[in-house]
Amino acid sequence: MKLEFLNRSENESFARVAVAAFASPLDPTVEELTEIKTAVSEAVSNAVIHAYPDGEEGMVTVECAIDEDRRVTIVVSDNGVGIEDVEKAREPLFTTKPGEERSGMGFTVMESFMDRLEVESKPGAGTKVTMIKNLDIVL
Amino acid sequence: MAFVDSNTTKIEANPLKFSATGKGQACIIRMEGGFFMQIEFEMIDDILIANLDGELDHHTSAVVREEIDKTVEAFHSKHLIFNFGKVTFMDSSGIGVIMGRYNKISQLGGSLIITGCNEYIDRILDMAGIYTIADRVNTVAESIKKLVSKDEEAEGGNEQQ
Repeated sequence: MKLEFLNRSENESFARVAVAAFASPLDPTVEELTEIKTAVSEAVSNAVIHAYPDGEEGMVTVECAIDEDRRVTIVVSDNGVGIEDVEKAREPLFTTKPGEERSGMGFTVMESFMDRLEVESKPGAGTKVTMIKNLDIVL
Repeated sequence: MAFVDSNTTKIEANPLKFSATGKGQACIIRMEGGFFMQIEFEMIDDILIANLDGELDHHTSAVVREEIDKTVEAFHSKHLIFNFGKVTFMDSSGIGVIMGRYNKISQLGGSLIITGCNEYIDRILDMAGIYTIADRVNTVAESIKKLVSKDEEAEGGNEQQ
């Protein structure tokens, strides 16, 4: 599925619920759902906070796919300013907005709760965060 | 000994109207919020209790931060108890809010206590190292007891000098 919405913080909750609903046919555990929702929340919040210059409107896209191997693939992307140094951005506690009480833990949380995380970004060319979670086998 | 009175009175959010009801009574002093998060504030002596109800993410953390800071200032609170009993979701934005409040409260010489977390939120807070700067206590009542005894210990120390 593909969702597109404005970079408004009100939409963060919607994105979480939409992805959780989309993954529900796989019958995830409560824990797996919470982990997925949290990872989505981090990625979408990053886009809302950082992708577009202050006050400017921009779109955030969330795509999701599930398959028979119980794998959930989520892609959060935007056409925003891009990340200058992806390595640095992924460092725990690093944030480009320290004055706003940001914990800098977004990518760390995504990495902990998902099985794979890939970040593609170039200054001026937008950002694409791909996350994959393999749900536990249901016997 | 401090206790939380079940017959709490709602008081207007006007610092001029607020008057201490004496040691041992907690009152609901304000309620704020929007669609995703409501905060109910209770005050007991110089302890502010922030009862959060809803989701704590980037969107709602702005309101939570602002309202707690406003209330601490208006009512001259020294200590802060975060009651997560009704928090249904939290991500790393919640951690930012807690850290920010910790910085402000410790500047006032007070302490921060976190209570009411479910297993999952507990795990995140632990992961983020929040329990190295804030105590984790099971219930609001126990949190109040802990803060009161901390203060009494500190006062006792001063008297001995």
